[in-house]
Amino acid sequence: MMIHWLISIAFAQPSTWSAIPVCQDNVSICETIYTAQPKPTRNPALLRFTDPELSKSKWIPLHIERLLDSNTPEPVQLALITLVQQSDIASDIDSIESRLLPLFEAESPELRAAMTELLPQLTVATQRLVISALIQDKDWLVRAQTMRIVARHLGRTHSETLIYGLMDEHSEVRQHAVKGLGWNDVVVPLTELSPLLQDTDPNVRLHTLRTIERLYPGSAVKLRLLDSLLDDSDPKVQREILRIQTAH
Amino acid sequence: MSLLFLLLGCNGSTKAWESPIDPIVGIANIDDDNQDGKVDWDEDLSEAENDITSFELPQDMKDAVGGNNTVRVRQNSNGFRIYVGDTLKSNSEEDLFDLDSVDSTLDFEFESINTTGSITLVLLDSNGDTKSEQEVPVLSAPMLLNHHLQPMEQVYAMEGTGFVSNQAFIQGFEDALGNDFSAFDVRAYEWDVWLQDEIEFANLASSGTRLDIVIDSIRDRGLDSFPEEELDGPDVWIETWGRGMANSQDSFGNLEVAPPVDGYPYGRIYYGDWYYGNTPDTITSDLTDEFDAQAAQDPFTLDVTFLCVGHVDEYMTFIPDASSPKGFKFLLADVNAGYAFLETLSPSMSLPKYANDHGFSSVESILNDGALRRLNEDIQLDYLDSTWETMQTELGLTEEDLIRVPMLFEEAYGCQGYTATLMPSTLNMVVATNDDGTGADLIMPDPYFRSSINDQSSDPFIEHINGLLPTGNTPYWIDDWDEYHMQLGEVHCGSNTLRTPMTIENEETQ
Repeated sequence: MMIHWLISIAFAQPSTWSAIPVCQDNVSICETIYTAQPKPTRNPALLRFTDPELSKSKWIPLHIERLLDSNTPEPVQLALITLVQQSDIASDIDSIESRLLPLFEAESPELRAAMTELLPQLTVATQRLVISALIQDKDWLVRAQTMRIVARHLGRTHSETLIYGLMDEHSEVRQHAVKGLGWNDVVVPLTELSPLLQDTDPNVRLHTLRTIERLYPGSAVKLRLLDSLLDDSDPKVQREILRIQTAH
Repeated sequence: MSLLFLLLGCNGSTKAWESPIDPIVGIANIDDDNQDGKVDWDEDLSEAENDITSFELPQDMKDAVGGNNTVRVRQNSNGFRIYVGDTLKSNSEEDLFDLDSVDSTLDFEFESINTTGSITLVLLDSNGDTKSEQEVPVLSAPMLLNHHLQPMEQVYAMEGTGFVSNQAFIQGFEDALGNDFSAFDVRAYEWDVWLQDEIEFANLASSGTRLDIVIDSIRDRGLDSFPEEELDGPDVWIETWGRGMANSQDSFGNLEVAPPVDGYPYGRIYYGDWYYGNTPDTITSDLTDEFDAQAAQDPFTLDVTFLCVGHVDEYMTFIPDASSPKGFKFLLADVNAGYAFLETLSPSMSLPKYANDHGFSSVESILNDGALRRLNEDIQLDYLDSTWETMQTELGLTEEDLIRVPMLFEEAYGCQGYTATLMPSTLNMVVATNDDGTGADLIMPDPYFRSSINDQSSDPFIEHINGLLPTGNTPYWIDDWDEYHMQLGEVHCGSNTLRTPMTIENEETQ
């Protein structure tokens, strides 16, 4: 990794960012910002920049140029995404969006998956465009992370994405989708949810039960939807059944 | 521990040695007291040696020996040596020797931890016939990990400027603990500040002897050489269990010890399992096997899969409480308490720190985030409630032992949906316990849950938590925001605490 960083620094040519307005009078500072290195967090797999100066909005264009730089190692790219994610980019959203779009089609699935973190900061129209592509991504991790971000941040705006995700072939996508419906009070017919009570993944079964209880309190008991799960081997599913039964 | 006291071969009118003898308990001589680079067990006793355990015949036995009788000592097992004066008398199974005097002192040296064996004391008459004999258990103290009710002796952290700039953090510790705090230059350790994760303090102790153990994690990041560079010396043993690729759960923020409870006078070890599929990432089995062998602090596990880092120290701790029957309170993160606390505040109260780094500009923005609330409800249902149930089952805790600490969790940036605490985790504190274990200085991360960043006295979260703490504990709130909180750790993660050992007394081994 250290070698990649050194290469990154060596290839950090001012030509890639010297045209950015904030850098025209601050070449040396921009060079420092552009070559700053993230360090591992307490989770060694996750790198972040620690200098608060770097999270100032004025440096966002520079971070994005570095993000786009093909010489930037992927771990640094992921740390840069976190920096952009923490920043307010609304004032310059049009130009930033256009620069970011190619990264949603990056070759690396890990990078595409990480880029989903930036979805909440895009305009709704661009979100729709990007999400429609991401939920068709051939890599399940990308689809799962897209569904997770929609569930956590964009469920009300893109509820159709969550409904679409219920039928994904990968259980992690289905889990985020059904969870997101409950998190965002997106009412869907019980008939669309109840098949997931038989899902092969116990986490999907658990969160389907919970979402049904959130959207239709008491209905799982009344409609005897729990009956088919009484012998479920998963302790968390059993615990959820008990919780619902106790509540009603 | 049950012991067999044998009284065999009594003859004549002698009623000698009917009183049971307490086990002989010492500590393994595995350190390097004379600092010559060799383990002490592997060389002759030196002037610096202090890990020898002495034993004298109880007075009633001496009285029963009589003028013409002698006492013979027979070693029944390997793993220890017996000296009289400076003379090695016995060092393996079936060795035996006669005492020159009933007043002689037997000095025991142990090869390793968890040694169990025995000697037999034989009373011989003037004809050399056995009048009486008694087997005496001989044990080396187990490795005991420290818990929070043991007095703090020293707290350590890493200090830096520039790439790691944590002067406020260091100053906070110095203000709270004075000379009981030591800082080391983080530049020498690749800017790795996570001292909690690299080492775990444990010890061997019996009456009059002490050996501190530094369990060195297989984590092996920048602080890998820290124990050898900074902590090695006489009466210290540094050891690593396991090898190979470490996972996050191998870090020792994921290894904690509950205080003593019924049936467990030395507390119980607990650590987290992080599941992906059916097989959890957890602490290396070489180390957990050692805990299982030790048995005294019988370990149990908790499911920490909701956390991005995945350590048990992120969301629970124990603090002293002299007024409690158990002598402590268990503090556990609680999202219901978190929302209840927020509901008491003005919705419009601004939160500049949270606006900048977490995207929440006010109390209202947190309360109105419905998906965040549901995420937290899920964590409460699936993990926090389960943790409390496990603690009740494994430690016999009841509701009166629990303080539910207001806390919220949020999906951590870049962590694919796994979470960290939204507020700097109060639970992730240093418990600097006083000498009698009745209270502590509690070093906690400043929550910055206020509009005026520089006015800590205006922070309602601090005021609320201070009101929850048992009498005898003194809170200190120190800045850890940029270098720790935003890097997915807090005060406890960035420090480590040396404590006065628990002593294995002879009667406690029975």
